[in-house]
Amino acid sequence: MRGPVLRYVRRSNFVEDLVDEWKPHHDQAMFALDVEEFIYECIDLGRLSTHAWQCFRELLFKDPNAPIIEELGNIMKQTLGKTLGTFRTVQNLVNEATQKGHSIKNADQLGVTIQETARILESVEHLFMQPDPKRIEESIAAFNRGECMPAEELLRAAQDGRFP
Amino acid sequence: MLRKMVVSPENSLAIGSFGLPRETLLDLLAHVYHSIPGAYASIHTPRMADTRLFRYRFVSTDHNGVGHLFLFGIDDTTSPEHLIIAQLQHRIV
Repeated sequence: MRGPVLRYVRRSNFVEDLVDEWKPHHDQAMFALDVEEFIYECIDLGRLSTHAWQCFRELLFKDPNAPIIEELGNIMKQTLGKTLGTFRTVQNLVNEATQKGHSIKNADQLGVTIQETARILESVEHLFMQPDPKRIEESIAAFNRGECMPAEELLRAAQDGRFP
Repeated sequence: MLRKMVVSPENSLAIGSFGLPRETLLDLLAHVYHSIPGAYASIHTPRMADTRLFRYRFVSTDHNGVGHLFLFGIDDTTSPEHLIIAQLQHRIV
């Protein structure tokens, strides 16, 4: 099940390298056409990130505490961050091309792809979120004051319709 | 002897604020009450940045096919007889 994630990682690196390699050597006359090529790449990469997330999500629902979730989740988190960086670089190129008076094909679709990728990144980041230190101290203080409720009691209250 | 799960008033309020479907709420609370203490020996290893806590995840799919992901930070160091839910976060995935 590592396949889809690793495929996504390799493709993300490829698109990042492609844009980095192009920047110092690009031909101004071909600027708009080159940007459109990058948009195609970004849209394909966005589809692949969605596919990798869907495969990862299946694993997550089978066993959310499995070691592979830690391993692949960290890889996904790092790669999605890099992917978004590349997408935003291309978005800036689109803005530059627009300011120069060019009409860029599929620019709207790039915006949708950025939003979707950001949403996936938020879901993956949620897996590794750290608790609020204030909430931890409040919880322990409440326990020491004898104010915590046994989970059994909370379950009974919910079953009886007294909670929430 | 199994440790007893306890929930602070703040975290009870948080659970109530998630707006969960009733079946998901009952699934979550039954899991908290029955499954986490029973599985404690095999799940307490991944420690969080605050090492008093271990990280635990639970997922539940409701009748509309919506996936709910719950992320727990559970304190197992303050009391040898209890597992204190220090924080519980929810996200639809």
